[in-house]
Amino acid sequence: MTGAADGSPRPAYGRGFWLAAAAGALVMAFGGWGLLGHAEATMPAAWARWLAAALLIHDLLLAPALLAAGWLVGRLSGGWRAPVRAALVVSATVVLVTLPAFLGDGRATQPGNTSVLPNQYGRSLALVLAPVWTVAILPILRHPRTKGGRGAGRRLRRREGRRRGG
Amino acid sequence: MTGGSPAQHPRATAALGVALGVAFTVCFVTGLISDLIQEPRAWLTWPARPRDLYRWTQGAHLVSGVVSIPLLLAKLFTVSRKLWVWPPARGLAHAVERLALVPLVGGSLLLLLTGLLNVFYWYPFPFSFTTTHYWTAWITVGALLVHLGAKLPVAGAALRGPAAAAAGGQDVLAQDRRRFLATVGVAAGIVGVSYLGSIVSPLRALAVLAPRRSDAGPQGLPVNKTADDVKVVEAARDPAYRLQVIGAVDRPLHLGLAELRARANREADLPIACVEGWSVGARWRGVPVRALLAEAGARPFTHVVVRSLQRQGPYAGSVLNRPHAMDPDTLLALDLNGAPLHLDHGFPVRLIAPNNPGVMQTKWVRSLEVR
Repeated sequence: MTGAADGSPRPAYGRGFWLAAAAGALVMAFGGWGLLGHAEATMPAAWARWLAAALLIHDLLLAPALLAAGWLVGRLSGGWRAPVRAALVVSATVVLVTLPAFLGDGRATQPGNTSVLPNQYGRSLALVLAPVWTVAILPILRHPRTKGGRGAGRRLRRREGRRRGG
Repeated sequence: MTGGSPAQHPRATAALGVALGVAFTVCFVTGLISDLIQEPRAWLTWPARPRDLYRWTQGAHLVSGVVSIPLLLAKLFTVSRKLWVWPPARGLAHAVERLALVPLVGGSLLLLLTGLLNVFYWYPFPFSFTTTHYWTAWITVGALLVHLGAKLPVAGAALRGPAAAAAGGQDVLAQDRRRFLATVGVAAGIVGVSYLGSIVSPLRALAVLAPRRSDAGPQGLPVNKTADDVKVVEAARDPAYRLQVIGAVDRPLHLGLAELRARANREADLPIACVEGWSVGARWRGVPVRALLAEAGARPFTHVVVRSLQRQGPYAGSVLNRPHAMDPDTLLALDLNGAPLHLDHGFPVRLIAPNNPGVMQTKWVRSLEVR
């Protein structure tokens, strides 16, 4: 095993890798055989489009958006950065998994079935996210100096000094 | 470690990889179990006991799946810089490893996305959910094996090796990384616990994010398909309704509602456990299927086909294997929690059996055919 230029470890690709790759290829072939063998249900062309779209939307939209959000949070002053980042990660997760309730038509699939999507999901988000943000931010509001003076703030100042200097 | 955020460190990737590996394994195995029950294989007779087994395997499927969403996105975030490495491959093995990422990441995203959309009853995709979800899982798990072949040693080294000791020190970057992992853990935990609320009744107040509450529905019990939706209202309310016990029997039975009521002498506490993961326990009163089979003089049989007044669709019937048909708690239920069955719960009678997926607890039963 050797270290890559960016410091991340690289695999050695020994016999173990090729054994796993062969086993994986067999399992994938079984899955592909099943997918193609049930083409009426799985619609392989549409399936491939959805798979490609999932990859592209993640790699070209979601991931850059996360990086951009991370960069923006990095601009916040020291004490705020960690709690805001944490609250944002939690919020993004909770909103993402609840999104189908807002964008989808689940209730319309069965009018009159009161047990389908029984929650008011806007209220649910408020119920979950209000305490998350309160817990994240309250300590800073109560002790702005102490928090701001610790690790994160010092690091930010160090970085900013470097940027100006270099 | 140079460049990127502290989260983009092999140690964070490895830690998330382990969590994701556990979640995916649970999800895959429980998914397979659910498929094996619904599409019976000759080599497996799904037992009627323990009563709540399916409830927990399918609940685990739902929770491990939804928890995987933040874990997967966080893991991809930690390696996002690697997507653009140049040259794209350093050799054949590296090329194979990277090519396998297409089915691995694409398949994982597709599985989690379609799984989530399915529990929210939103079908923007043209393919059938169940079949596609099943075969995509095999493709993804195959790609995961390739990935593990390359990354298991790397992840082990990142978590245990001497480099890890240096990287895992008390410096601020390690602290930031731990904070990132803790945050992802909290995010996954909040979502996971909320979904757990649609499975574990005492936690039901927490099911605010889930698409189901275990107490929302007529008689305080969720309904998957209403009588109106599947057009059985008239047939279910018809005074001429008769339950038929037919097939390999000496004395075929044709029983009206009053005759069924006279035989409804058994109570059982059994859960409804949906393939979509939610579940809830309830008290049922009804006629033991076993007693009906005995009364009809059933000859030696392998299974009982249960047919619904609903003629079309996946809920039109189900198969009771022998252990389920002979279990004393397997009932044609007339009462739910002390009151006559609501039309949407399967009036006049519904099947309720221990350790049986909700989709196979056939409602509006019109016949039992012994085979």
